Amino acid sequence: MTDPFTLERRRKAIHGWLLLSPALILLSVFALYPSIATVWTSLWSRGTRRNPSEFVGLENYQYLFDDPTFWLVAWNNFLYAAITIPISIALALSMALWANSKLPVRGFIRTAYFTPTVLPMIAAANLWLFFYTPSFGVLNQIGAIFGAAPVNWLGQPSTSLWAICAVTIWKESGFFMIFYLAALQTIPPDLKEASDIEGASAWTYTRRIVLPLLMPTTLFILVNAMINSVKLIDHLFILTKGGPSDSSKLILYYIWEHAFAYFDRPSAAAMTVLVLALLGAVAAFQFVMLEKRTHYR
Amino acid sequence: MSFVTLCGIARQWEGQGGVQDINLSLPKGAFLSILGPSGCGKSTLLRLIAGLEQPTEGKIMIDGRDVTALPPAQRNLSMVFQSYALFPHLSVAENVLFGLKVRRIPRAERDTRLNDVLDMTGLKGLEQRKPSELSGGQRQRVALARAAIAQKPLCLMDEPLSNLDAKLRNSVRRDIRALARKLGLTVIYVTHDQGEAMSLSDVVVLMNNSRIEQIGTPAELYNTPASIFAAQFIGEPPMALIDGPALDHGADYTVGIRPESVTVVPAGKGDLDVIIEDREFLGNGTQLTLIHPAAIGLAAFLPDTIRTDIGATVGVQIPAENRLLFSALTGMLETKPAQNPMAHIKPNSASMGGHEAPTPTQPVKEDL
Repeated sequence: MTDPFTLERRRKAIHGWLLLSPALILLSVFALYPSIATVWTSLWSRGTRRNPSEFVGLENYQYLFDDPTFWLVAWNNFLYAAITIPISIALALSMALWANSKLPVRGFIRTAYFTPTVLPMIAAANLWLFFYTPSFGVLNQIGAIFGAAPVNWLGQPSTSLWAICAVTIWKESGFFMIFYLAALQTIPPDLKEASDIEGASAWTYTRRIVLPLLMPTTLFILVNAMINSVKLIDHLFILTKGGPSDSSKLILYYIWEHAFAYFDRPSAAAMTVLVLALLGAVAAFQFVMLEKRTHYR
Repeated sequence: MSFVTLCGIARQWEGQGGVQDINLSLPKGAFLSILGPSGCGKSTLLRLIAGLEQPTEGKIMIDGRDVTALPPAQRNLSMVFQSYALFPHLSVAENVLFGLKVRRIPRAERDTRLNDVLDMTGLKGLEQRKPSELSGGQRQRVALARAAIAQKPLCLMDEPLSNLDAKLRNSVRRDIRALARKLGLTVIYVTHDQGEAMSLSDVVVLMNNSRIEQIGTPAELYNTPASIFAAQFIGEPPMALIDGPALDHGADYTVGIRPESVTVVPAGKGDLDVIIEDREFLGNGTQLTLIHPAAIGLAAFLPDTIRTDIGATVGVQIPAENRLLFSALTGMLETKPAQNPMAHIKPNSASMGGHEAPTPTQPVKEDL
C-alpha cells in the first residue's frame, strides 16, 4: 500500500481516467447508450395499456421489410444520395478552385458561396418554398416569361424529390467548398510553379497534382455527405412533409413519423438500427478502400 | 557570345521592393551566383528570369530569343526550388519523370534518361519512395534530378542548400558543381551564403537594396570590392573599415583592409594602437578581434605560437599596398591597391549616394 511505485502507478491511472472521462461520459450518454437502447427497443413489440410490450425478436424487422412504403422511402433516399452527393461535391470542388484563384472579388465570392450554409435550415426551406410556389413562385414566374406552363414543383410526385435535391445541393456545396478551400490553401504555391516550369497545363496540374492532394478532403466530405443524406428532415417539414403520396419521403422523416406521429417506437427503432448498420458499413468501406489510394501528408 | 542577357530589368511593387536597373550578361556554360542579404531582390531576379514574375521594365534574352513575354515552360530552362517543390503524393521516379510525361516523351527514352539521372544523383534504389520517406539531402537530390532530366541548357537554383545542415551542404555543393560541368549547364544560382557563391561560381553578382552592387569573378569581389557594402559583405571575417584620418588619408576616405594583411606588432610600433577584444582559436592560427575608436570590424590572424591576452593593447600595421580607399561620402572604391594592378574593376552605377551620372553597367563578358 505504501509502496511508492504502486502509489505512482495508481496516480497515473487516476490521471488517465480523469483525462478520458469527459469523452467517455459524453459518448456513453449521447451515443453508446442510445444505440444500445435502440437495438433493444427494436426487439420488443409496441406496448399499449392493454397489451404490455413483449419480446418479439426480429418481428419488427420482418414487418418493416413487408412494408412497401419502407422500400419506397429507402429508394427515395438512395436516389437522393446518389444525386446530391456527386453533384454537390463536384460543384464544391469547382467553386473552390475558382474562388481560390487570384480574383479581385475573391472575398466576396467566398462569402456568397458560403451564405446558404450559414442560413438556418428552416429559413432556407422557406426561401425555396417561395421559389417553388405554383403560379406566383419565382421559378414559375420566370418560366412564364418564356411561355412555360406553371409547374407545381413540390406538389406532384414526379418533381417533388428533385426539388428537394436541388435545395440540398444549393445548401451543401457551399459548405463543402469551405473544406476544399482550406485544403487548397495548404498546397504550397511552388508546386504550381514547378509544374509551370515543366510545361504542365492548368488542367494537367489540377488532375495530376491538385486532385490527388485533395483526396483526403474528398474522403472526409464524402462520408459527411453520406451521413447528411440520411439526416435530412427539416427541409421536408417545410417543403413537402414527405408528400405527395410519399414521393419525397426520406428515411429519417419516416422514422420520425413512426416514432412521434404513429407512436410506433419499435418500428422506428428497427429502422434506426438498419440505418446505423448501413452507415457504419459505408464509412468503414470508404475508409478502408480509399485509404489505400489516398495520400496523407 | 552571351547566352542570358538582362537589359534594364526592373520589377517593383507600388514603387518599392523587387529589383531595379539590372543589366547582366552571361556566356553559355557559366556558373553565375546571385549573392546578397535577404530582401535584396535576388530571388525576385531569379523568378523574373524563370518567368514566374513579369518585369515592369526591361528585356530578358535567353539563347538569342527575347523571352520577356513568354511563360516559364517556353523559356527552355529548369529550376530547383528552395523548398524543393516535390509533389508529395508521387514517388521519386514519378516526381523526376513528371516533366517528361507532360511533354509526352516516349517511354523508352524516359526510362533511359531516368536511369542516367538517378545514377548521377545517387538515387538508385529509392525510385518508389515518397518524398516524405526521404531525408533532406535525398529530397534535394530528387529536386536536382528533376531539373537535370529535363536536359534544358539553363538551370536556375533558388537557395537549393539552405535547408540542409552544414556538412551535407558542402557535399551537395560539390555535386551541384560536378553535375553542372558534366551536363554543360549554364547555372544561375541564388544564395545568401557568400562561401557558396565564392566557391561555386565563375561570376558573382552581388546585390544590395534591389540593385546590382558589383559583378565580377570571386577573386575580383574579394580583392577589389567596388564599394563599402561589398567589402563588408564578402570575406570571413569581412574587410575592416578604418576612418581615413586615423591613417593620414584625409576625412574623405574610408580605408578597407583584409584581416590577413594586418600584422600585429608591439604597442606603439604600428600604425594604430588597438585593444584585443576577443580571441578565437582556428586550428591553423588564432583570429583576434580588435577594437579601435576609428575602426569597424578590425581583425587580425596570428600564428598560434604567439601569446596574446584579451584586453591587452597592441599595435597593428596596415600595409599601404593592401589598403583600399573608399569614398567616405559615396561608399565607392576610389583607389585600387598598388599590389594588384591586374585587377579590373567596373564599379556599378548603382550606389547609396545616388547623385552620380546614370551610366549603364558594363556587362562582364570579357572577364570570363
